[in-house]
Amino acid sequence: MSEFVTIQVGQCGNQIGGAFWPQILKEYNVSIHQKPEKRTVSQSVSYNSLSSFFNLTNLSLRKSTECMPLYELLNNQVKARAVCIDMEDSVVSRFRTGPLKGLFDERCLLTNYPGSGNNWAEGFCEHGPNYKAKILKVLRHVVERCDSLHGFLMLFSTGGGTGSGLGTYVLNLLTDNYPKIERFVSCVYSTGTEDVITCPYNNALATYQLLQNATCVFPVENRCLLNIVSQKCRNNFYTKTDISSLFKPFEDMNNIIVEMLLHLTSGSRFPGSLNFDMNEINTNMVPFPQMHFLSAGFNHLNNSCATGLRKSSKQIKENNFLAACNRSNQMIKVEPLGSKSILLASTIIGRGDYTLTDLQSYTEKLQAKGKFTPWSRKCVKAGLCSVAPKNQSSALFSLFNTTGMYSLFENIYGQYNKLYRKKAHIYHYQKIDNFDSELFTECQESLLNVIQKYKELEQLVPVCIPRLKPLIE
Amino acid sequence: MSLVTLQFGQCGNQIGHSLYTILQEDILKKNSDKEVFYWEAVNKWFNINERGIWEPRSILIDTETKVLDNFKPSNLKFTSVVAKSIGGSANNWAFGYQENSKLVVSEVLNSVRKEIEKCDFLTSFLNLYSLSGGTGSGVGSYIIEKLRNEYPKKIIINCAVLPYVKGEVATQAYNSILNLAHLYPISDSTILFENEKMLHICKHNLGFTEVSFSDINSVISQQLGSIFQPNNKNQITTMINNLTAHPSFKYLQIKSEPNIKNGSYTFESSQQWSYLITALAKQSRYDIQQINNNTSFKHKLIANAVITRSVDPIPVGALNILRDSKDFVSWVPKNEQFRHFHTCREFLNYQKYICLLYNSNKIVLPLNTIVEDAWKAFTHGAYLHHYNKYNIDEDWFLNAFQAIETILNNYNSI
Ligand SMILES: Nc1nc2c(ncn2[C@@H]2O[C@H](COP(=O)(O)OP(=O)(O)OP(=O)(O)O)[C@@H](O)[C@H]2O)c(=O)[nH]1
Ligand SMILES: Nc1nc2c(ncn2[C@@H]2O[C@H](COP(=O)(O)OP(=O)(O)O)[C@@H](O)[C@H]2O)c(=O)[nH]1
Ligand SMILES: [Mg+2]
Ligand SMILES: [Mg+2]
Repeated sequence: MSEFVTIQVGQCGNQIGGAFWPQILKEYNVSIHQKPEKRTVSQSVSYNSLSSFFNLTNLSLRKSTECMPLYELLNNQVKARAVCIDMEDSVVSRFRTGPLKGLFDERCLLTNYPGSGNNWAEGFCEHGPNYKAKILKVLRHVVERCDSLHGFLMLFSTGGGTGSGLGTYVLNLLTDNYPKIERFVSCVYSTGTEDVITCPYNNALATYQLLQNATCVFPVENRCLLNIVSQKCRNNFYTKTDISSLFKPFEDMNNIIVEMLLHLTSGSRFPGSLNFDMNEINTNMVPFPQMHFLSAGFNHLNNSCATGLRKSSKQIKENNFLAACNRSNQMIKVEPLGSKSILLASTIIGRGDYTLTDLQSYTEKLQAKGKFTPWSRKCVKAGLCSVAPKNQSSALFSLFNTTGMYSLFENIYGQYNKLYRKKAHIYHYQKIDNFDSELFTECQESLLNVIQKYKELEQLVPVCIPRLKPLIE
Repeated sequence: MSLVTLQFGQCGNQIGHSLYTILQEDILKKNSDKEVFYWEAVNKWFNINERGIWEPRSILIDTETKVLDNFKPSNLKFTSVVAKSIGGSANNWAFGYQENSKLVVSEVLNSVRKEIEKCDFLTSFLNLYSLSGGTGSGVGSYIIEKLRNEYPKKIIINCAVLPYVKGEVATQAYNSILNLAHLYPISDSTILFENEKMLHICKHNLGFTEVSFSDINSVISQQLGSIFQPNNKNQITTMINNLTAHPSFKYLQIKSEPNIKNGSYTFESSQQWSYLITALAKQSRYDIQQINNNTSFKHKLIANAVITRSVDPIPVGALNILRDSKDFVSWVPKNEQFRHFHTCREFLNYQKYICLLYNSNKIVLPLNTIVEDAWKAFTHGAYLHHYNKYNIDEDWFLNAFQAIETILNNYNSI
């Protein structure tokens, strides 16, 4: 089993992490309640597969279909393979005392006081260098305990200071120190300056780093999450008894990110007759360097009873596919099958009772509806994962690399420019010791450059070079 | 006389698993001539250990462990397993060929030596893999290259699976041409299976509404089993070798009958040789579609072999429609164009089973699509950076393109 190290940085990153771990455990039939109400029997999963996200020092776990309480797992010295970094203490301290107590290795929790003031430069240029040695030590500690480390999965927001600044600093450390290990980032973009006035700067500066150093980025926009949440509310989706009321107020939004992460990692955790491993994402989805921002989609209303109608499994499955391509279910504001954007690559993963036949009919539908470059029509990755999400018989997850992604960058650029033209707040950045003001212009250029690249692909004139002549002996 | 199989990657291992299950089932079923066939078949495929457990003469190779872990326990014991938990080869031929292969090669060659020691006499290697992934395609290329160096006289037969044409791996066309070009000069024959065609058979002939890989794999395994199970006349591998005697034409394809819906199998007519042979000689619906898309195509056959398995003999002259086809090229002597091997024993639960192994220009149709796709991506520079990273540069690609274009041209000009 290939292994992953999860690195959560800042408030947002750790809040998402706080919601992620209980859910990932749930997929292995482990409950974070001290005593699960009933040891319900469910789909059998092999505890072996825990090893992709957990350290199993002395693996003596049997394969079981029974629900197991967390303490039993912890008694077997199972630990989350995670590094939690924050420059304040409030969120990470809950990992030391709350229901997840004992799940994290104490040595992998790094905190400090008093935060990064929502300032990317403070995180990147100040905390970064100050904590470099400590962070590298923690990373070494974690990496040494892996047999076949495949990737890092980073979680943070780009709008604040710690996640955005220190998060991208850590990302660069990974690039320098572990160049062969893939670096996946799921980052939260908050558009608008409602909560953080300097957010546009932080977004842009972080994005510049992500463009250079991440293997693949799965961006999430808070405004899309809000839409999805309200859509779910309208459909009476929430029964307010869920466990994750630990971390308000982003709870519902973060649960959606968690669902995405579970889908994304499912192929690396569970088998399937057309297995889809995380390490295949880069090869399949990134046709050119730097075009590695991917849009994820899945059905958020796929609880069949919520629709009030009993649908056949075929309809449910197909419905999941249509929903996964729909713009209202994307994690960022793009329209994968819209008339303007062009698809560079797509992935369709069926979880649960999907078959080859299903995937192929969806591939054909996608090819009929989407727009493509001269070479990308067949750039579709299909995968099957035999384990469905908890309490669902099937789910479908999609990833798109679409030229529409430039609207994300344009948005970041636009917001950034609004502030930068007035040189608003730049003093906060310039006062940080190691902050190089060039970064302001560099990140601008980098954004314009990537926007340009996507646009060129939209207007691509097909190259027509005749095929090679055979060798005639 | 034994065969050693190498199963590479997810596809190779899933097919291999299905193949050995079917072989064992076929060997163990009740039959009148038990003794002779039984021991010949067992020795060909299996080593029976001191505790009486059947160990396939097969080496399982993968760069991840999920596929092998997922196999249901059976009464077969695969003893030569070289599965590294390194997360697979990322659907990248270059990664498989340049990096991961080096991590497994010595272990694999050791396992091969050990398997060979357990055989009385080894005739050939059978390699199972898919073309579109990174492990089967890339690691497979490297290992088979080493196998050729170490065993220059053994026959190497590859069974390669072509991807679903509409796309299931973004880099499938690149991986396929890199593998095909690399292995062509060093292998004796390559049997190509098209997933697309297999799916078609499962859907339209076998009547499955939902097709799974295990359905496709059992069709493939039955075809392979029917060809490679011992045959009372001759060495199969020599026969295959003869079909691909000309070094410019090394690709084989398979057709088999019966392919009919479960249940309807009991119909009287479907048990007549004449029915099965006519069905086999007919262009399949799938082939007709392919040919219609390519109007300038004219079918040409280099050579054919028919394998029949049944206690009922074939009526004299019944095979003439296959033998006297006007499609044969003129430069192959009549007695080498067509061969027939009959084994007086039922195969699996088929009263009659017939399988056609052919070398013809039909192979151009799927291969041409792959080259077309690969060339389009290549001329736009798409995905190349993943290959450059492992030192597979533009020149390497151009050489591969050139090699395949040459093979296609040869088949096209017969
Ligand atoms: N017929 C058949 N084809 C399969 C099977 N499994 C995978 N494939 C095909 O194989 C191709 C994917 O290659 P895999 O075999 O999964 O790849 P791999 O060799 O394991 O290489 P990596 O996973 O890239 O390291 C696709 O074209 C699939 O359709 C199978 O059991 N039967
Ligand atoms: N979706 C989501 N967004 C969050 C969460 N917490 C903070 N954010 C957003 O992230 C930005 C602030 O970053 P934060 O993580 O608090 O800063 P940091 O602790 O300095 O990294 C704001 O724009 C918030 O809207 C969360 O739990 N979920
Ligand atoms: Mg904050
Ligand atoms: Mg594989």
